[in-house]
Amino acid sequence: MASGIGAYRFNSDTFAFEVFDEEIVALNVVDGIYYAFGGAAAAAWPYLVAQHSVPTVASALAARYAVLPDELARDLAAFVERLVGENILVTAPEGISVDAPEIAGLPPASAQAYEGFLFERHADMEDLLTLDPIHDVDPSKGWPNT
Amino acid sequence: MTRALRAALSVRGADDRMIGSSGALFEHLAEAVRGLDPSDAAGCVAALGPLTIRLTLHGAVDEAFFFDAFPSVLTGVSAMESSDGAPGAPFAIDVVDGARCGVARPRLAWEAADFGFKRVVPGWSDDDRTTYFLRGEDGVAVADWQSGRAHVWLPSTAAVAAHERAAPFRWIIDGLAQRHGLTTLHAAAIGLGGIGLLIVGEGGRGKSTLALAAIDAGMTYLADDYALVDVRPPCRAYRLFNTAKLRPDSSVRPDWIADLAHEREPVDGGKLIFNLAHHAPEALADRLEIRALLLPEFTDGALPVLERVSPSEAFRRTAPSTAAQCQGSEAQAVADVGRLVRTLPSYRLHMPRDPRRSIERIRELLRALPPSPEWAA
Repeated sequence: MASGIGAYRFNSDTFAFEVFDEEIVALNVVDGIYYAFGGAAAAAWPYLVAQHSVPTVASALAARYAVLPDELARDLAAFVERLVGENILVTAPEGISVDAPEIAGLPPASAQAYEGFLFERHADMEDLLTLDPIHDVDPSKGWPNT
Repeated sequence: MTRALRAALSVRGADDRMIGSSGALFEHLAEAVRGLDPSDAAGCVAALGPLTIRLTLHGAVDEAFFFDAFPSVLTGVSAMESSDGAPGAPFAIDVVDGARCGVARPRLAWEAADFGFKRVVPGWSDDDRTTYFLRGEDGVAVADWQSGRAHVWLPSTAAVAAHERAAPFRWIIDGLAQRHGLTTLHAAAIGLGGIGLLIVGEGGRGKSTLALAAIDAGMTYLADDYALVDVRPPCRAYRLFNTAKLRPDSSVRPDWIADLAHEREPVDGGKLIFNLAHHAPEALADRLEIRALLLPEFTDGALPVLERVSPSEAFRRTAPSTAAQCQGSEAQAVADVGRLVRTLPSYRLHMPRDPRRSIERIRELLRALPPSPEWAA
C-alpha cells in the first residue's frame, strides 16, 4: 500500500525504465536522454516508483546501510529532487492506492557499505534528433504551421 | 484522359469538410482511393519475416524506388488484388500522390496539443488507429489496425526524401510489428550459416561499415540500420529493407563498394544509398537466429578486441536510439530491448579503422556462440 504524503509516481508518459542487477536505467523515450542510478538509488527506486513516501523510504534504507540516518535522508531528498527536476518523477495524487512492495522491516545482519545515491545523465542522442514541436494549427487550413 | 489533365480538371475532396477524428480521416482517404483510376496505381507485396504488407502507390513518381527497397515477393496486377479481411491477408498501405491524383489535402480539426515530437499524433491515436503527421513530406496518414489497412496522403511522392524511400513507411511498420509481438530495432545484423548478431549503437559507431564489410568476407547481410526482431527465444531477426547506406566521406569503405556506381547522388544527410538486391543479392539473408549483440567502437589500435559487457551496458547502447526512433509504443520497444539484453550475451568490439580484421574476429565469435541455454533444451 502506498505511504501517502510526500510520494511521487513514475512519469510513464515520457519515460521507461529497466532494472538490472545493481543499476536502474531510465530512458526518456522522446529524446533518447537516459539516466543510470546506482548505489542506494537503485535500492530506493522500486519503493519510490511504488509511491512510498520519501520519509518511509529513507527510514527503510537507513537500516540497510552503514550511514547516519540524517545523511541518508538528505541524500535521498536530493536524489528525489533531481528526479523531479528531470520530470522522471511527478507528484502522486494524494489518497492514491497502489500495490507496492513491502519495505523490509528488519535490518540486515551487517549493514552494507554506503556509496550514496549515484546519478548519471547521458544526452548522447540529443543532437541526433529533431524535436521541434508543433506550435500552432491554422484552423482555416486545418493544417499545422510548420 | 491523362493523369495530368484529370488532376487539372478535378480536385477530389476539395470541399470545406472539416474532419474531426482519425476514423473520419480514414474514411475520407478510403473514399478518395476508391475514386481513383486503378490504371494509375502500382503495387507490390512485401514479405518482412512474419509480416506481409501490400503497398499500392497511386500516381506515384518513381514507384520502383519504393518497391525495390522491400524484399518483395510479388509486383504488378496480382499484387494489387484485394484480399482484405482474409485470414493472413497482407496489411494494406495505400499511398496517394495528391498532386498527380488530384486529391486535395484534407482539412483536419486537430490542435497543437494533439501533436507530439514524432510522426505519431497522440491526440488522434488510440489502440485501434494511429494517425501520423508527416513533417518532412507535409503529408498525413492513418493506420486502422483492426481492418489491416493504412492510408497515406502525400502532396507529392517526388518530395519524399531519399532516406525515407530507402526505408519506406517504416513508421507504419513499427506499429504493425508491435501488434504482432515484434519490434523494430535500431541495429545492423549480419550472419554466418543462419546464425547472426545484432550490431547496435547510435549513428557513427560503425554499424553500416561492419555490415557492408561483412559482405566482403562472405557473410550474410540482414540490415545496416533497422531490423525486425522477435525477442522471444530463439531470438530471430528479419530483413525489412534491401538498402544500405554509407557516408561518402567515410574513412572506411569496403572494397566491393569502392568502384560501385551507387543508386542516387548524393543522398540527403550526405549518405549514399545502395540497393543490395541489385549489387549483392547472394549476400542478403531474410532471417537470422540472433545469438549476441555487438557494440562497436572505433579504436586506433591495430587489432580488434572483443570484451564482454553487462546487460545494463548493452541496454544503454541499444535502447535510447531504438526508443527515440520508434514510431510505435516506445515503452514496448524499451521492454523488448531489456529482454533481449538479458537473454543474449553482449560484446564491445574495439574496432580498428580497417574493418576486415574486425570481421574475422566476428566470424570467430559467431562460430563459438552456442544457442542460448534458455532455448537450447
